[in-house]
Amino acid sequence: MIARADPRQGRTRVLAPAARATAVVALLLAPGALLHAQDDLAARVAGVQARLAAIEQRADRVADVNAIENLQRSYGYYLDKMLWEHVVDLFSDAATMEIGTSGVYVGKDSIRRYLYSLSGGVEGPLEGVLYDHFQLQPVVTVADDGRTAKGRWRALIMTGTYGSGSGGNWGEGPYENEYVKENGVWKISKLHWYATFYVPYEGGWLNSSPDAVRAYSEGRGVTPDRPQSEQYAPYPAAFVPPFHYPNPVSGR
Amino acid sequence: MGKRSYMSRGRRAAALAIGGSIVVGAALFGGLLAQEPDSVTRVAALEAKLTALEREIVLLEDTKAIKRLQRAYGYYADKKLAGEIGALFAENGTAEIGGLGVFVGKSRITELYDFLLGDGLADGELANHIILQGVVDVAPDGNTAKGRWRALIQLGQHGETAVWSEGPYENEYVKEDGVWKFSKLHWYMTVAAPYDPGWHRAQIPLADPSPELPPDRPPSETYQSYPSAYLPMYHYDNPVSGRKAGGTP
Repeated sequence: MIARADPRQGRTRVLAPAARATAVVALLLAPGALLHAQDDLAARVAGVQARLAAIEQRADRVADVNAIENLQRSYGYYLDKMLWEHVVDLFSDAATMEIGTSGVYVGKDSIRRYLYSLSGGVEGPLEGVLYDHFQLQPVVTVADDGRTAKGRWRALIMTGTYGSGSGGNWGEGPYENEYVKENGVWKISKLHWYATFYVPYEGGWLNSSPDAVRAYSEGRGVTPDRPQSEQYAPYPAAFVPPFHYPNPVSGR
Repeated sequence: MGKRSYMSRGRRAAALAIGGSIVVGAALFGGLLAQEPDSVTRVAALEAKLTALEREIVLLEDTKAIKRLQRAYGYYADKKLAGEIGALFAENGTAEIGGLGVFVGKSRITELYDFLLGDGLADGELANHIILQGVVDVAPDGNTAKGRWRALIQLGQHGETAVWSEGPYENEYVKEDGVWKFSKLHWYMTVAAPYDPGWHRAQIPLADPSPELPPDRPPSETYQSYPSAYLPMYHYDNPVSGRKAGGTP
């Protein structure tokens, strides 16, 4: 092989005419072979670069879904403890928030006003108040360009006011949320929780009243920027909040 | 220079000149070519690493797709969308819910969910299937997978019944034309009880196969729900000790 030619060979002896001719031919042919080898190598490097780019994109999608799942779960953990400033920090500037029959709050300031109204204007967990919001069952879909995403989740809610008779409640319902990636950070751009039910601990969902959903979800002494985006009634009415994704097998 | 004595001075000079240029040329090439095997080796190593990475990322994507499938199943069950659930199965998939027996194939499975749920949530009905706690294992060949999950279930007929139920799934999945589907769904009912007075005071027993909808095969396992104790098999070995737990698959 040309690549294994020993340059010291010429120093040890003068070549015989036949060898000399071979060497000359080899010298003439070598650049072609070398160029060919370089072309081949360049093609393989280009192939490696393309495969790397594809892998980077796929790894980004996995990382995006993980980040969005952490984001939404963090929302629940902050909400549990009424850490309103932390909740607000999770939203993009132009984000919207709508909980049950609350109507739509637009932008961080409005969202902040709404949240503080739920706790009488204070931040942080309150003595005697249980406000747990489990964030469960994510189906997260990242847009092809990796800049926005949608997610269906559900909240299982346990709330309570200690010692006040029927102060305990179960709540449940799905979210259809949207997310945006800004400067590499995923934020909530739209949070929409559909109430399936909100019922007293005593008797559970045997009897359910829309009044309880209103009492749970509506701001106190604050007005939303827009009315409720979809009219529906919670259990016992049947309502199917739209799915942002098609059937994962049939594609319908 | 052992051949010098056989050559005239002129020939020797010419030979030296040619030899010299060969030496110089070969040295130049040697320099260039010396990098060549090194580059080839490095590119080959990169290609091998990439192939391994591509395999890894496919497994991550597979796990993601299976979790999505299982969670989507729960959201359809919430709304009693039997047709959408049937569509999630492979052609020859099986489904077994509680004690109703084994249903084989997409159309029979759709019949089962239609029987259990009806098609479409009606006013006054509640059918929440909260799907939790996935342990998903994709086979090394990337074509099949198994998953353990649990459902926390809230059922209701408004003003008449409110029911809690809970139990694990041991499911299997298959990838067909790049799409993950259920090849086997098996839900074990741990407990079902009216909300009031609760599972510590009342029980709704596991149903037997229904004469209205006979299964294709009898129940694969015989057991009773709470207050009886039953140990469904685990598809996975203990992730730390590697030991097996539970009954036979």
